Amino acid sequence: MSWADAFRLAARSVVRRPGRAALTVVAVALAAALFTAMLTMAATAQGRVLNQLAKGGPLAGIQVAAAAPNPSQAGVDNPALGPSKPIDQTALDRIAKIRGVDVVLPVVTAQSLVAWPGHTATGGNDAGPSGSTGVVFDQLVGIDISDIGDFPVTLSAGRFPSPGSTTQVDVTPVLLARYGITGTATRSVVGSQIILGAPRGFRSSDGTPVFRSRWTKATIVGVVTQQAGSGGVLASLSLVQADQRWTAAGDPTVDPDAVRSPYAGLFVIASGLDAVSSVRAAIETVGYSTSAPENLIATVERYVHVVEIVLTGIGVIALAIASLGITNALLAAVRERRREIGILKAVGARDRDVLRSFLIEAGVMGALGGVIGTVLGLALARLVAAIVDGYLTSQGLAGVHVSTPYLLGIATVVGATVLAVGAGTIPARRAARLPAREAVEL
Amino acid sequence: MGIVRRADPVPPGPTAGPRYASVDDPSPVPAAADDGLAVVGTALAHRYEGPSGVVPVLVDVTFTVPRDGYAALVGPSGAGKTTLLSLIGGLEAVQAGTLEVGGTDVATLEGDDLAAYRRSTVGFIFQNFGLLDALTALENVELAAVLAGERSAVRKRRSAELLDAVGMTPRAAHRPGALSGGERQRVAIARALVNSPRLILADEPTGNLDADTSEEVMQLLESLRRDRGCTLMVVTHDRALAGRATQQLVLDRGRITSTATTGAGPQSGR
Repeated sequence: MSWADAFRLAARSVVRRPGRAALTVVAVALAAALFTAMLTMAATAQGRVLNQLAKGGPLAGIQVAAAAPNPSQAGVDNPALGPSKPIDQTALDRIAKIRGVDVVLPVVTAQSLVAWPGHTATGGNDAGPSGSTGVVFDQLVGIDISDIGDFPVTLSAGRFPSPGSTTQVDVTPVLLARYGITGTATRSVVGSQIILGAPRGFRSSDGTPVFRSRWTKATIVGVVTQQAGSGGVLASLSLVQADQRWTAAGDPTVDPDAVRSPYAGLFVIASGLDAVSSVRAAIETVGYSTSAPENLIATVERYVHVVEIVLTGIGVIALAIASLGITNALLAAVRERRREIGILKAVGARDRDVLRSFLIEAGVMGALGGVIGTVLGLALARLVAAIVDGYLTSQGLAGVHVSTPYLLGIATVVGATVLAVGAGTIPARRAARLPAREAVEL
Repeated sequence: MGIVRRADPVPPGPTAGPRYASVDDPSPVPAAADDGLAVVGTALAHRYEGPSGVVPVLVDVTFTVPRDGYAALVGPSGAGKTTLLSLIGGLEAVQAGTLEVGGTDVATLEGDDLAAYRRSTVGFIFQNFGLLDALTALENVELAAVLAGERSAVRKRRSAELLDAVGMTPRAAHRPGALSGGERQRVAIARALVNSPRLILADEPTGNLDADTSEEVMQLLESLRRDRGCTLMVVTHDRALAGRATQQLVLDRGRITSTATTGAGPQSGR
């Protein structure tokens, strides 16, 4: 009997007993659904939670500060910085050539006064333009917005500024907290206008140090949590570089703290977590301080891996129980179909013909259950993710989204089929060994 | 004439051994007077082990059914008729004695050879019809050819022709549940013939049928036997039906008590 004929015969048997077949398929489907949902959620935890730890950026990111390394802080995730050391294009090029470096992204900062008409900052002083009061001192952080996905920046409301825009900014919850805006209220600031002042120090004709600011209006288009640089306002490189140049052109004797390094820092992405240590060491050899949450991530990664193992274990146990269900259903089928098997033998079926037919029957139920279960499992994972996402966003935090793990789906269907065939082996062998005389005895 | 391919391995036997159907010749095997196989049982014994101990079913059974013969196995219930037929059909293993079908020692067949013997040498007709409920009449007939590895087009054509020969073409697409007892037995007869066997074994083929239908079925079996040149062995309780056979083997409590050949009068049994 050919495989195609055996398949047709098995399909007829499945269709002939729709109730039992349906129950068996449902058992496999539920187990496969649980397995898929568990693994999808575990994978989401693995990927997204760690991403959240890295504040949305890649795990292999290294921050390079415009400061010399402090030898006593070697190997520390967030070391105390050594003496200031500007980062120029030459340093950037050298770092880019280090083995294990994927991308080097510049970060520019500029001192800034922040005035927000209609809002008063706690601890703010002086009056600002347009009748604003409580002007606060902060820093602008400028990055290439088109590379935003590579930076440790997480959007919790609104959007990122358009690349190259000089009138759009994002603000951080830290800055908003200075205005008493916290939690879900942070979302309400999107669309507000703030005024940013780039200070410049100079001396008056009588030698008195004086500061004057160049004020520009900007629209808050989003709220972000960021660790690209130290500052409460995130903007495009062009906006921040313009302010930085204005401030840097001032009298250094009046404002010695003004940022004069072309780049306030770099964000270096290593080729992988394993390469982070060696890349950090190489950057420090070039002469700059580095920081990366690699130890924290490695620790959390281990814990997440344990969670993944536990969830996978639950899914595997569910599949094992479903396999027992298939074994039971097929054993019952063998008992019920002794006469039918006897007839097959009596008209010339070989043992392997009967074995093949039963294994195909088990495989068909396993595959069918696997497909239905995978779809159900992904839907379940998405439902759970939607609930979690709703909770997180209601708390003003970045949400969680489940990607579709096609490979996991294929693996689940194949796994369920293989398990079902394995579970069907004992009943199939039992059926194959039934004597032909069953045809005349029953 | 096309290429003749054997559908199954040939069990060992003399030159007059089983003949296998050509897969590219869908027509029924032409009638030939000497196409049937001789069945020779010598000192056959068989017993079952039941909860109350060993039960002897056949005791020292010796008989010969000649080629192209038509034998009836008669006797009371529990005489061992079905067991003897099962031994000849390869459904039961021979425990003691020898059993030759067309010169082949059935006791030596096992595994795939035994399956091939059941598939192609013997056509078995059951009292309870032995049809699979999940398949249509045509598919039931086709099943034996499927197991023989016949090509789809050939087996479908041959099955359709056999259904036509037994007058079941209008009911070809019906499942057994929708057929009467007589119709089911006709389908079972067609199935038994699909691989062109040279020995037809019928276990009480009219046991579940009324008198008229029994007559029709027996006439059908006998005409097919004549046309196709097979040896036919029928188990029956019915003396009248047994009388239609050219040879009667009477069993009682596992022993052959008499054999009779039409025109030759009863002979002493063992």
